[in-house]
Amino acid sequence: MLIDNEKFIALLSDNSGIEKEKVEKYLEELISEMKTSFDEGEGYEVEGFGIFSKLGSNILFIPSEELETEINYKYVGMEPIELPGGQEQQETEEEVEILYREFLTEEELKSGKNTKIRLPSCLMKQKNTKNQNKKKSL
Amino acid sequence: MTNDFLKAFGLTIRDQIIMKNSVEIKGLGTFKAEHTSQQQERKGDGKLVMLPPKDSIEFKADMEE
Repeated sequence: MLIDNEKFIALLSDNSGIEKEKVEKYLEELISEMKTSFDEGEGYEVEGFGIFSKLGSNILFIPSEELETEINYKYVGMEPIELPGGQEQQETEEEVEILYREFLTEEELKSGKNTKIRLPSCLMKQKNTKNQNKKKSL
Repeated sequence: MTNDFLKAFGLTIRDQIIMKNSVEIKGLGTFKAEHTSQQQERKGDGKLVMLPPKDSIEFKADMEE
């Protein structure tokens, strides 16, 4: 959904408790301050949000670490997993589907796209060992 | 312009991005949520890694000179 300027001002007014007219005025001031900073060859930082900087005719936005973390709260603690070569992993897909299911968007779950990844064979060996141990104990 | 305004400015955009909405600000630009699915990548040292999914924020400027 697109939040246009009008909706954004209404939301900002609700969140801050500042009247809409003042919010509009402050937004104009903010944009004007940014332009002044760019003219002086400097970037403009909104604390806790990110930095705007001018590069040629384009304006770049670099989100703060705080913002990056907050918008990725669903994936907290997920680190890159090393895969050993990616061979003989077809039969293990179901196992990993369960591990990653909660990190997928609803659209991905519905379409079935990106719901499976290949499991490293080292993890597969661990699983097999556990199964063998169970059989032994029976 | 007050600190409360700047804080609410950041939080309002953040909340909309988390909800996968785009935010258009007249005279400044548009913020958009981008999702990158988990994907395999081969590193320079030959190791194959599975990168976790990631959400990011994209900004397209619409500022008059």
